[in-house]
Amino acid sequence: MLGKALKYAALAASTMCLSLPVAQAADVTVGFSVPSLSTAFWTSAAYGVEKEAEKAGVKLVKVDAGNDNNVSQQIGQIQDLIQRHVNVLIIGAANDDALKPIAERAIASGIPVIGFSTPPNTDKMSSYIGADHYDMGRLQAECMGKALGGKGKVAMMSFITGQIWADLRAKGFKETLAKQFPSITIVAENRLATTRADSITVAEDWVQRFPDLAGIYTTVDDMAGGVVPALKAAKKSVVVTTSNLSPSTQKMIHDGDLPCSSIQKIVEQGRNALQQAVLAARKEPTTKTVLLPALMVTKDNIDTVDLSSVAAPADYRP
Amino acid sequence: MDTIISDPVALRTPSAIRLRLRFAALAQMRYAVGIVAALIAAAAFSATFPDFGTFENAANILSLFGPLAVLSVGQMIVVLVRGFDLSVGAVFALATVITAEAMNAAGLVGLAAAPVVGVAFGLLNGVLVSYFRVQPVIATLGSLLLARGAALLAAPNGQAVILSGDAQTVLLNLQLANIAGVPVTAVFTLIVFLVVAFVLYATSFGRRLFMVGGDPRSAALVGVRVHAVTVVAYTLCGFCAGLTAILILMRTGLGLPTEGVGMEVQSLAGAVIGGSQLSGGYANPFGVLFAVLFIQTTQSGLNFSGISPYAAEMVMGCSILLAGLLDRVSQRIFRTA
Repeated sequence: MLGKALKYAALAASTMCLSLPVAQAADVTVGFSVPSLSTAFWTSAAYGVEKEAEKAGVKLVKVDAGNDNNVSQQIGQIQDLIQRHVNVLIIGAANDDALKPIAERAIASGIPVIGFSTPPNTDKMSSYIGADHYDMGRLQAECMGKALGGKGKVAMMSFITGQIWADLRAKGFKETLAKQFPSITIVAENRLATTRADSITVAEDWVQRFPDLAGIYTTVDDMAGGVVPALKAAKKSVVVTTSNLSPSTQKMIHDGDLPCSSIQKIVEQGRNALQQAVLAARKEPTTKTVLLPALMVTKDNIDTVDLSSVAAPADYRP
Repeated sequence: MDTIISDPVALRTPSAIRLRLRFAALAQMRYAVGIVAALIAAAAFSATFPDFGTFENAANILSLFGPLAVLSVGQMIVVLVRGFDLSVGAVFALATVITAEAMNAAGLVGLAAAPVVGVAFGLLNGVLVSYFRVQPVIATLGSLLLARGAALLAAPNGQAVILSGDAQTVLLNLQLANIAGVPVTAVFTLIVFLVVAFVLYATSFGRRLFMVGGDPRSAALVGVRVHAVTVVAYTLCGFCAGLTAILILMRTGLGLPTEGVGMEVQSLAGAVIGGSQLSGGYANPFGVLFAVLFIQTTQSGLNFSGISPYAAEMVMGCSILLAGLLDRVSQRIFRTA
């Protein structure tokens, strides 16, 4: 009977062994921890990191906390990567404050940390890679200014206060309007709406309050996805600008409902993160902050613009 | 088999006692599934990765398995009395938020808020399930949503509540501390399991839990207050969710209103791989301990491996299925022995 049990045990063990890849020989092993690989952003980021790792000939160990909210899972996974003695860590934090202690623990144990897009809240990182969010706001302002012919009333949906990237986008938008299109006035700013549904309510409220409202700025395309159809249904011609490029946003630009969207080069960020990570692992000098410029997508260039630096191809699986 | 184990009248006859002992021994073998599975996983990963089979990594795994282990042993108690609790994930999330706010206001004393929140929800679930005869799935789904909503409302903007000052330092240092190489959080977890084992095996309340789980009607006939026992079982489960909140606070230093999604099902899996049956009447805390150790070992091994996280999810699923099959196989083997 024991023999039988052993046979099953051996079978189980061999099944498990077979399912694991054989470790590659490489001088550098990079640990890459992200909140959720079920979002387009992190999938494209992972694609960039992975392609660059192949090019550089280093080993990449990816872990996925499975959900933007799984903070303690992500901490546990980084603890595992530290135990595995990876040479460097790239971290996109589910929560920047929560990831601070574990990131600093990694650094203290000799593993440099590269912050990616939403970095752990520590100043001890070797490098930070992200988008130039100010530039994304600036591009939206240029698009808005041109679409309105340089004059009119504009309202802003600027996302939650304190989300640094959202603050930067709003700042870029405001400062560029003030400088290049002084005849455009900002009549309202909302910092509570984040979802499609919230945005519809806010937009409907605005068109009642400001009958001559000419434009609406939105921080992310989820908001535009709510605002554009709502305004269309109300037969209001208001110019909406946004950032990011989900499939539904691409369609709105195609159909002419949205003049433009400013987008970040996510794959390119991934490539840069890996490059900085390898430098840090080899104890070579790194660039403290790498901000990648934004890209403007309009109806004219949407079919020709090179999206390979923006999004992973549809057949990519992390 | 159920009636033999748990029918208190039958237990009084000598032959029944002998039978019960024999089945208890069989049952013990079933609980070994977790141990076997954990050992297989540890051996397989150690053979593949040089850094896996080390004392430091054993300590690492022990420091990681606490939250799910404590949640699972609580779940085991309600599964024993033929129930289950879907609210545990949301309840511990709420407890982390309330406790973080309490600690920011009152210092370390605020830590007491965690078990209080857990007990309150456990009590609510227990009363709903027993006295109001609400099905566990509805009662605990309701309190899941209640707790999740309350957690988001209690946290400013629905965002994480940062522990500040001494409280944070003390908790985070405790997370890193160890006693003779064993992480403090693991010691905490082991103590919880020992207490649960003591309650189950060495107190009359523990025997009543088994009686209610095995056959509630017979239990009622011999004077066991089935409703009251059920309420206490759910309350203990809630208490465990509160303790889990403390472990999460130690790890993250934050009150996290959105934490714990999916943990209710994982804790059920922990209880069942550990030898419980959803039909009630069975429980072994040490089976659960090793089942969760198996889950954490596999998870850590997959994190070491660097395989596609999508594939890792599938491997995790297969491992749980394998553990379930191992359970069936061992039942077959030992029944024919």
